[in-house]
Amino acid sequence: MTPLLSVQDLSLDYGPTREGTVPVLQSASLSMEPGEIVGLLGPSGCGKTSLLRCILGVPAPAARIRCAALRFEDRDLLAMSMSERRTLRFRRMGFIFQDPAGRLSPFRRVRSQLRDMLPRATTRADLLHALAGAGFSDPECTAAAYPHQLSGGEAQRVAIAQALAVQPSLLLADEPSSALDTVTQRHILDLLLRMRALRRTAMLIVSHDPALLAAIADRILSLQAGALADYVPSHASRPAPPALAGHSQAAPLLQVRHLRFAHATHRLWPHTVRTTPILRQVSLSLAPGESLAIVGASGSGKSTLARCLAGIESRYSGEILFAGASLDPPRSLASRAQIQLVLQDTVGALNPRLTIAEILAEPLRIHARNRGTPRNVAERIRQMFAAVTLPATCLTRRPPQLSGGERQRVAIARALMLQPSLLLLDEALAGLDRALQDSILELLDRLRAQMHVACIHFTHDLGRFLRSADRIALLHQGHIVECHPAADFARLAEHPAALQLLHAILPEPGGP
Amino acid sequence: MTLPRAALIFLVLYSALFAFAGFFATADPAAIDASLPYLPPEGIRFTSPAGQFHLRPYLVRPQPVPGQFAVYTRRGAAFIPLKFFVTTASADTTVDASPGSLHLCGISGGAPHFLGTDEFGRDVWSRLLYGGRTTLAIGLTASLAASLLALAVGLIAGSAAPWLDTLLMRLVETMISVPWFYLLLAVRALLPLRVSPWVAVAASTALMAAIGWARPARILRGVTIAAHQRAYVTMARATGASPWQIARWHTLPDLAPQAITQFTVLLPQFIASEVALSYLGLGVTEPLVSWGVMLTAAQHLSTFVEYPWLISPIWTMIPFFFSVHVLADRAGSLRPLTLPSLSRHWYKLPR
Amino acid sequence: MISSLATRLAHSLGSLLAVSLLCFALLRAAPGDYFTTLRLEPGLSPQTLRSIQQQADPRSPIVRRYALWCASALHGDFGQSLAYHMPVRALLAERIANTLLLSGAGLCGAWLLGLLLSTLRGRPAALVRLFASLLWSIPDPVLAFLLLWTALRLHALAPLPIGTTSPTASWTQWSNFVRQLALPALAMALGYLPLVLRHLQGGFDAAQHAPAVEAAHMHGLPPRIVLFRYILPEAANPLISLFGLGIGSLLSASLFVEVLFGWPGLGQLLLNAILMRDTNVVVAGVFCSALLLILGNLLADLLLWLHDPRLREAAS
Repeated sequence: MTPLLSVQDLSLDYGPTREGTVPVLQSASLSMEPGEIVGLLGPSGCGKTSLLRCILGVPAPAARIRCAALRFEDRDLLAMSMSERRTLRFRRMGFIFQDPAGRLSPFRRVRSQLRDMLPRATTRADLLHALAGAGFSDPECTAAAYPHQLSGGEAQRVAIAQALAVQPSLLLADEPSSALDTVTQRHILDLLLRMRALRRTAMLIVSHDPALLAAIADRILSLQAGALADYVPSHASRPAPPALAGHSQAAPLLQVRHLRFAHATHRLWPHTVRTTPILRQVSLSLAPGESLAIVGASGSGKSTLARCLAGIESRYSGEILFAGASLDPPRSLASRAQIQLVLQDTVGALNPRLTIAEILAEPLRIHARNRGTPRNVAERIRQMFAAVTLPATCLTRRPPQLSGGERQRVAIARALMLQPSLLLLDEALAGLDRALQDSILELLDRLRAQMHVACIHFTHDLGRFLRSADRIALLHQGHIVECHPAADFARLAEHPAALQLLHAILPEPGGP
Repeated sequence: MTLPRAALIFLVLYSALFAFAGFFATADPAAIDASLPYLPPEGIRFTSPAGQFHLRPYLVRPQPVPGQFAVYTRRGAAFIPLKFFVTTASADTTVDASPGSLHLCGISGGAPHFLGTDEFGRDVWSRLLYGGRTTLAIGLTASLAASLLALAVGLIAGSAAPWLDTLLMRLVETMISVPWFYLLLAVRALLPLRVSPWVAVAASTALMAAIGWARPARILRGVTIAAHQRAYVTMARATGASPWQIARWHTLPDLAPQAITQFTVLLPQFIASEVALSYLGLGVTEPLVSWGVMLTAAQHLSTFVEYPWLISPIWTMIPFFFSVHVLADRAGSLRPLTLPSLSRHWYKLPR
Repeated sequence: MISSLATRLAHSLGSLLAVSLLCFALLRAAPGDYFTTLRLEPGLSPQTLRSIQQQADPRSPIVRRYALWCASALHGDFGQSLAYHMPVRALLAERIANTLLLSGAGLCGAWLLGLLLSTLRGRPAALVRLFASLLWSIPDPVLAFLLLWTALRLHALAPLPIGTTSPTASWTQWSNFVRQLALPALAMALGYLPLVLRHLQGGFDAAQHAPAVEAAHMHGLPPRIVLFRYILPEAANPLISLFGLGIGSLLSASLFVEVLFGWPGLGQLLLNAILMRDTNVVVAGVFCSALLLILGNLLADLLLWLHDPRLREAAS
């Protein structure tokens, strides 16, 4: 049987740039059978997307390609003209993007964009059928919608319907679910598996998450140093977090009582105030040095809760007690030093104009008003920098010159400069790949043991924190619906939202 | 050398020409010479009338045709040797050049007219320099004042309480609902038509600044709001930074490139407005000179056709505007400025 | 869906109200007492005179005076012109039509030229870019001046009716009229052209790289469909905004062009009124120019609203 797709010795580099040529792929070879799902694993920036674009026939303008053979459905792609390649990918290949919502034209309805993909004779019923096949319960409604009216998951389903509308024999998917939350991600994976069963479509799925690929792919290839190889899961699992005895006996560090927060939209005339409750009633407590994960889907109020606790939002009602004292707004400078925030957005969280040393000095500078200037600022900066295991040479660089993982370490170091007793981490691990997440968590555990800092993680990723937090609280529509020790969470949780999240956890490949 | 850098160097040299107008000018811009009205530009030759080469150039002055007004002939033109670094004895009192001041070049017994003369026989070259000084001074002052005002308003509106923001933005919207030059004229109409020259200069500057700040202020407010939404500002607020600290460390450096861009956009607009106002008789007036005043010299445009050297302010303006535009294009992509306050003086960078 | 448009409309009305306040303030602040002059006006009925006096009576409260002024402005009554000895309304009607004609011709000319020139590729496109950046650096009044000067110098070659004192007299003939309009309209169009060219070239370049367009390309859609259904809608948004903004700059530019070319429009009227201290005309001229600008912006907003579904839902 001839393979559906075969790629032999594909090399790709980005033509002469200021840094010379940048090799991306070096003799990558790949072969796929009809109906097979192949996972392609690799860290961000390793050339996964470039490979997909080569197969499609739309390489980036600066790319220079050498290839021994590129065959699809027994036809030689290298011998084809540009317009033949276009017709081929229009009729025989499908493509799914990482950011589905942005890839639909905002000016036209879903149905007309879907119709662009379909043969001219397509009827309305066919169109609705295609949408229903992608899992929409009310295809009429979806067809009439504009892309901005869809949620991320819905937009990805539309993209899948678009890609599969022409019944392609190969579907290429570039990080199809990394922009979605875990429950929606599970739905999308189920949909793809169902489509494969129904139509025998072969799929090449690119991701940086081995768990995701393990859940869907027949085999996984990993792209490393520009070459493809079979993926071998590593069995080394992270050591269990240090058990900190006697949390519950100590006086609580943080107590939140009946916290409520609502967004108010004022309309001047006729004068109305519409309030949208975000946090309905949140109560929780945290022991010194404890690590708590507050898990919730997007829109559950996680970020708002983080902002309330960090003192950025002050229009909440309820009470926040820190070390027994109330944190009523306006919050004092001294108490602000005790609670520090780390954000998901590592690019935006560090001012790109300042050097790393200046960024680390900023908190001290702010608190120089009431603490006075510490005598050895430079010494403190170097200490903290060593604590987050970054080389001192980074200090004189600026944030854009660092990688994502390094930037997140800098953000943590910045938060630790004032020696706080509580760190709030708002999705601080999302957007980093697996290995980096592990190393950051390890770092946090160590800091917790050394400096006795408590941590609250605000996250959507339940699976990750089941293994790495002391306690897990589930935030659902502005309520804390479950709060259990992490080890017992799976056993004790009974709220439907919790069960759904637990179901969506993808097993770690090669793990126990 | 890149184009923006070339433009910057050109602008500096060009401005120096006007800033030191007294040195480069050859005559008192207000000095009337009734014997030489509408004299065409005089040539410079390195050869004597006999055809011999001389290192010291000659000024070739056409001779008036007797009995006719403002008609000159090259036949029998006077060859006058040019002198350099001369101190004139002329009582040049109108603007600044005091008697005995130094000039780049001159001739004995009179003044060279490189660009000819106007209807009163005043030297166009000198008027061009002194006029440029007035015009550029008005344009620079007004656009600097307007951009600073816009920066202040934008920063306040973007970071202050919502009611103040709304109030300021309503004001801005009202001002930009009226076409800018119409508004300028209408407000100018409030002042008496004939005012003393220095009052007219001050009024033009103040009016342009008072009316021109609105549009840049709206843009700068947008940039301020965008800057305030950045995550690092959120972090600084969470750490307890005061609004002033945030403005100084994060917002102002973000605003600086945009403010510079706005300045470079306003500058040509204001210079052109000064020229237009003066041309229409509502701006700078005699005896002060500005480019606009020079263009009024002939209210009948046919004069400019007969005596094309009178249009020289226009040719002078265009290279200036061109280089400012080149800089404006560049300013948009400037790297945001870093204020040194955060680092250098406060602690030593660890080695 | 309608409410966002209604909000926009209310916004425009608010701006207009604020402009009226500004105009009223201008009227009050203007120096000189014109009642003594006004009483000598022959064609003025005692009734009108009384109402005018009521509006200006310093003893009646300022709010009342403002309300009276607004009420008459709503009827298009801006009082009597002292210089022209006729109602301001009659004076304005003709002038606004002329200004609209000039600006409209300039606008159309600029867009047509811009679209034509932006289709060029290769070396001509580079030349066009150079030409545009040169034009860009010449402010409108200077450009008009230069154009007129050039035309006057070439007068012997191509006689064009320029700057005639009373163009209305010769407007009986259509061809004459077009020739009359050609030069000032060209001045307006050339002033506006670089902006249009910049946005057209930039807009299409940006649209080529929009994510949705790239996606359509990667899906392998036929190029014609990609151009008309993906690139054009993507490029339209900034161009529509530019169209709205352009009206303001065109009106400002038209003032000088009108004065220079002797085109009897709003700007020329305003200038004469200022020189003759005809405050009523000044205020009415400013108010009407603001009205034109606000209407233009509203039109652009309406177009945007029709084009972009996201805006139809955005709250205010």
